[in-house]
Amino acid sequence: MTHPGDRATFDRLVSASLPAALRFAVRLTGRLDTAEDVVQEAMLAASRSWKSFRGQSQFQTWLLRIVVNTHRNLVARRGPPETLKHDLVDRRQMPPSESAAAAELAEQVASCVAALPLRQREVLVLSAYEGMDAAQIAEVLEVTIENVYSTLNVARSKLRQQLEPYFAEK
Amino acid sequence: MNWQEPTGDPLDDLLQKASWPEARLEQLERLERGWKRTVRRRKIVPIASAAAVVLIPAIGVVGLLAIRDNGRPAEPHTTQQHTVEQRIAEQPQPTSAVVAHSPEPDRPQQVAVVPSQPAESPAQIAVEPTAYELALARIHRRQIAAIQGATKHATKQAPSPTVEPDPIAGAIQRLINEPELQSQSIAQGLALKIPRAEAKLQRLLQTAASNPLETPELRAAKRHAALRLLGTLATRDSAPLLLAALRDKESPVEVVEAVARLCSIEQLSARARTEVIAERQSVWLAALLERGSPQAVDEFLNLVVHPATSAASLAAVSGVKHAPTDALFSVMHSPSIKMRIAAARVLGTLNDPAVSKRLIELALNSSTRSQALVGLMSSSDPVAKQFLAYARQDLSLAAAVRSISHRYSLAQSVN
Repeated sequence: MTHPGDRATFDRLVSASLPAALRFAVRLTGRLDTAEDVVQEAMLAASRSWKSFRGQSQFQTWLLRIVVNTHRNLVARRGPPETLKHDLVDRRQMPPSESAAAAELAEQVASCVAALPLRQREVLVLSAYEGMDAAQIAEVLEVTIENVYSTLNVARSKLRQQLEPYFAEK
Repeated sequence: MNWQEPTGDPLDDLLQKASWPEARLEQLERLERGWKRTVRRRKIVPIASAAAVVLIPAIGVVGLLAIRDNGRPAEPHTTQQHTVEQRIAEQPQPTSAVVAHSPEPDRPQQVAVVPSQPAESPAQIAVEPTAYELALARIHRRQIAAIQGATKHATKQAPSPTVEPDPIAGAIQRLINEPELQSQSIAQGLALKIPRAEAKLQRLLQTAASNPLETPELRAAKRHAALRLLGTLATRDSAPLLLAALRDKESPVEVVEAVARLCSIEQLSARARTEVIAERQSVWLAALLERGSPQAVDEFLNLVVHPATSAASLAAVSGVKHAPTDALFSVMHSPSIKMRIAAARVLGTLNDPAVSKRLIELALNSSTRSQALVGLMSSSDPVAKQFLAYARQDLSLAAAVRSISHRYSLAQSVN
């Protein structure tokens, strides 16, 4: 358990968590500019509500919850970002160099994750990229553990289906 | 299920391969600066408030004392008992709270306020001030002047706490009061006046809908005006907001024009094909042609060729300020007859005498005659009409004019 104790420690903790918060927001939003907006608003929210952090959860869990809520508010305000849908193409039929193919694959995976519905994306990013377990995710998202499991299941099935052409390469 | 442990699922390997946009250093620095500003502001505000609580009544008391003592005869001084500070205070000086330095330079000393006395003659000061005392007096006077300046400034500002009106709110109010005003000049003035005007307008639009103190009508009017300003200033950053605004059929034309400016050629073409609102379709079509690149011109001519969008496309040509005439003339030599004819019709619809002259040159050449005549017949420009009148009488051209006129039903009377 990490508890900032006083305001100065809290400020230092937030400041130190900025890169992690930005990285998480990038995975959540799929866009750098939006991620920056989200983190900026989340920091302000954190600054306003630091007293609500009682040390019952880890500082990171508490901060990520603020980032998640800020992102949800942003989506509610702005609506989902309009992105061009591009179908997956079986790149095996193309003869690009291996590095280009790898870059393409990396982009496709990120693009599929970014296209998941909001809640599924949140669960998936927290589990796959933040390394959180079901209990931690449930705490961040304020849902039950069962809900985390089922949402993650749906998200992974969807991704498995979309990324099917790439499994055969392995 | 514990997904912290390796599961052997190929999906996990794929997920780890995903590449995300890398956060740039300046973004982190910007966030860091923003956070430091937030922390600093939080520290400064209570200090400033506390200082204000102490200083403002003190200044008030000083003022009252000065008024009360004004005109009271000076107490006789026992000069030899005066300290340096007292003697300095006796120098002719305006009434005010003062902060004097103690003789020890590192120990500033808050001294009691000395109401100004009527200036005494130099003879009353028994001991002449030393150079050090004179220097101290000069510093003292400068400090008094500075405090007086600050007090005056504060007194002047006190009645109007809102010093500068918000330029964005002002611009929005102007557009509400005078909707016929051109938003472009106002928005450009705004952009010059305040940095990041676009971002501020975005924030305003995102929060305006939730102001409970305003009537729905006022909120709608403000949103409309803000969208007009944002449409004029918009860059790609505003695209999500503009696209969301576009869902409303009553969105101002500035929003449509901004989206037209920001869209890719393919997106413009798709919007022009599927748009159901005629005014917007006209904007998409005009924007597409104005792009002027060979790809944009091809897309536009495809829409001219298509029966569903042909009339709207030709009608939109009149809204084009800078038509890509050279690109259109190059299509006149295209292997596709449909495209050649479409380009000719667009060129004719421009009703430009310079274009008519170029079309006449092509009409006199047998290899490009057909499409050039189509262009001239589509034009209502006097130069084109005059040439067609001559061509109908000319033995070598009359047959071609009749044939084209019949085939494409493009007699000038129709146009």
